[in-house]
Amino acid sequence: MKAILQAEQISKTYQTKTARHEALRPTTLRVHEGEFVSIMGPSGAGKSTLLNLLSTIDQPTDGSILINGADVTAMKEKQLARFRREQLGFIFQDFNLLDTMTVRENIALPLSLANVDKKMILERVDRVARQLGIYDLLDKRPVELSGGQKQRTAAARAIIHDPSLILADEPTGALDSKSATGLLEAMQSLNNEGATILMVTHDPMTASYAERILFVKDGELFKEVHRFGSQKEFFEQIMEVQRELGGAVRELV
Amino acid sequence: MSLSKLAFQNLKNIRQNVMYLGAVTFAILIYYTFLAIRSNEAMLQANELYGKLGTVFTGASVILALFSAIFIWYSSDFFLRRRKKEIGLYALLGLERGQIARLIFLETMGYGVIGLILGIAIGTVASKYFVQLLASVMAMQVDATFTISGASVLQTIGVFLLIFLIIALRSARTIYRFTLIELFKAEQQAESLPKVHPILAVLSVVLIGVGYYLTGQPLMDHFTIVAPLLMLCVILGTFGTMSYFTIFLLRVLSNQARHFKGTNLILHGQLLSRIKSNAVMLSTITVITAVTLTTVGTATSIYYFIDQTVEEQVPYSLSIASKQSEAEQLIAKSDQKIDSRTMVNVKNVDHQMTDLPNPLTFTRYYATYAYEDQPGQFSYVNYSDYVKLAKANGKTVIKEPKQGEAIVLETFKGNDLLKMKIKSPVGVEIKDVHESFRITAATNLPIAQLYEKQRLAFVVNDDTFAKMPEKGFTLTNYQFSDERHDDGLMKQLTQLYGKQADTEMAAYYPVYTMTTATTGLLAFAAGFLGLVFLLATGSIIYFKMLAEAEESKQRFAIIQKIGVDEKEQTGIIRRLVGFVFSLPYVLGLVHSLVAMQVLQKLLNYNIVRPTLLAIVCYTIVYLIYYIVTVRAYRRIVT
Repeated sequence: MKAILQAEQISKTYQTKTARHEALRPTTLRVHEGEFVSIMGPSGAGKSTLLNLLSTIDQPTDGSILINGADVTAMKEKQLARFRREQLGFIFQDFNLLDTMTVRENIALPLSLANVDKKMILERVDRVARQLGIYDLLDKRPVELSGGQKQRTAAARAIIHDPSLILADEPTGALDSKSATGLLEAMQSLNNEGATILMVTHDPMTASYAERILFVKDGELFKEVHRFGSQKEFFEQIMEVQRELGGAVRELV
Repeated sequence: MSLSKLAFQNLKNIRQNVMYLGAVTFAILIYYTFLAIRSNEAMLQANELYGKLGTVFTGASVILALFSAIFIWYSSDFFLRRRKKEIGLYALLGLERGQIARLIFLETMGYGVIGLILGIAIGTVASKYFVQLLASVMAMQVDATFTISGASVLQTIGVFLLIFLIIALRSARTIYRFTLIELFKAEQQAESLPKVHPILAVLSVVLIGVGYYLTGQPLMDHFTIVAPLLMLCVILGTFGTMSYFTIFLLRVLSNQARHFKGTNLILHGQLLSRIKSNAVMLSTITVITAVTLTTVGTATSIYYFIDQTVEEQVPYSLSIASKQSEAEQLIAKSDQKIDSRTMVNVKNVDHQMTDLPNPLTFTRYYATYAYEDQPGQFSYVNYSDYVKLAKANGKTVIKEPKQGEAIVLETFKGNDLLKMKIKSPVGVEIKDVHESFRITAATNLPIAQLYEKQRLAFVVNDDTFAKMPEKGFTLTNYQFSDERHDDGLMKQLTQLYGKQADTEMAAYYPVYTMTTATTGLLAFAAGFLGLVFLLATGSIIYFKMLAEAEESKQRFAIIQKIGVDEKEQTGIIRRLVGFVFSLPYVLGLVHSLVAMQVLQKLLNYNIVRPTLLAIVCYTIVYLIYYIVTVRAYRRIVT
């Protein structure tokens, strides 16, 4: 299977005059086409750093990242911006919807930026909105939506332009459990239709919707878990790794 | 750290507020300069007229003080809003409200004091050059010296300290009204989508149209009714246009295919979300822009055409009605040479008319006709003299009127009877106490410049003229070699005529100097007032846009994450700021062009060049503000 994301020995070090902080030790990871991968770890473990690097918002100190065959570490800022909006789709914890625009316009934005024809844009927005169950909300503005509806809108915006990779940063972080389940099921069905998703979370329940989980601890990959059985079994498995992780922390103390 | 120290610390963070301080300093500078110029010794000595015209500066400085007060009020409000979070932090850190209020009070006063010191300092140094500039536009010879006018300094300090005091007190009071939660509340959510009121939108534009239409109507007839009505229409229409028509326009734009092109979605959303709260500011700025452009344009135009105006008012270097030989002796002794001399015999005949026949009525504004029940007078000239004068003035000679006929003359240059789009007076009967004449032709020809109010004269054939029983007299008109210069001749002539100087002689030189001085002074005051208005409006838009930028930080962070590159973001900012800058500019410009078109009719000159000059200067400064605003906006959001 084709590797959509290929990160080779990437690391991130913050250097100030007095201190050196290794946020991420050299790490290698791969995400294949059609995969739903989750990155887990306690806060401060380096998940956000990793996601920022993979989503091209930050540059690694060392190593290279290939997304859909293109080396993003070699790109200039302008190329990167173009690359992000064509190849990547983002779902953020705080939704990041533009409150000045309607749901329809928010979803349409990536296509509009790519100068797709208006008729085509509207058709695709309708289709994606139906898929995510927000068709009736298209003319509303983000302020009128619930958290779950906002995050579905964000998800719709993330997939509207058929990106090669969807990056989700704590997508359920601001949602109640019911909305979270709804969103994750929606993401799962997007994945079933072929979307490649990389999600960062600290919540085991959320992570259990993925097929594969990478655990990060103290700036490096700690463990990798694949899902074989039911979601419930997978969840138990995750909890076990977490205990292991927690134990490791306790040992240090 | 004491409060005053903290306030001082905050003041040092001046870079953010440099536009504000700049505008305040400039307002104070001009205010002080106006006061200083008014009391400038050198100017007072050079021209006695100048003392009387000082009222122009008094008036201008009052307007300036009022305008500055509004401007400072508005900007301080903006500062408070922008610093809400900072104030909240102080409160959280345990500063009492009273202390924070005092802090804000001290800061506001601090800016006032800095502005005053800078304004007066620059004003003192620059007033010499201001005086020189004024003297040159007034065509006066003055040796300006470096002076500090104590009274002006005191008055400036007094007035502006009072303004700042009031505003500082108000700002401090506002602090008490903020609750802690309000101070910390997240950035304002986007306002709800403004509703479209197509009827109001159309009505607003129609109102402006009605206002414009009224300017094309004969204003003079009902000036006191039409003028305020016209203003009301245009101002209401402007507010309506900015409030409703812009929303209408943006919504129409949102339904176009272009809406989904590139960054337009973001731009339209941002514009629509702000338009409601910007409407009042945009309308106010439109009106100020219109007033400023019209005032400056008018002043420039009048100043530009001084020579022509004076030439039309006093076409000859000198006109006299008596004592010809004595006058000529005086002229011979002076350094003026007589280039030409024309003489004309005139008889003044009473008439009983209280109203002129219709096509001639337009001249009634020059009070040609009789007042109420008193008989008025017409001047008559014989045909031979007319031919002489017409030839001397390079006019085509109209053929001799028969018995019972007359040619009507407009006796001053300028509003040419034939140029005016009115019914020709040919064929009209006029009647004096003896007989009546049928008018056969109309033209204009200066027969003299003595009778300011008598704009009409009639040419009759020599025979008819000779038979008129009234006593005739001779008017003599001279053209001098250098009529804009005087070596004391005017004074001697005035002495020669004594009490009759007002009625028996009229010279070019005093009118020229007087007109130049008056219009020069007006142009000077209008120019600097306009500049202050311009700087203040520019600063207001600047602040408003920066406040908007602060609120939009989050949005720009989002679009950056989505992959809108820096160039595209700059493009959005340019169009965003451009929209807000151009809307009041374009509408204000159109307003002032319509107003100036009326002026053109009144002046009857082609004022395109001076008007264009004023507009170009205004536009350049405005553009600079636009560029600075775009930069500052970009700095905030990226």
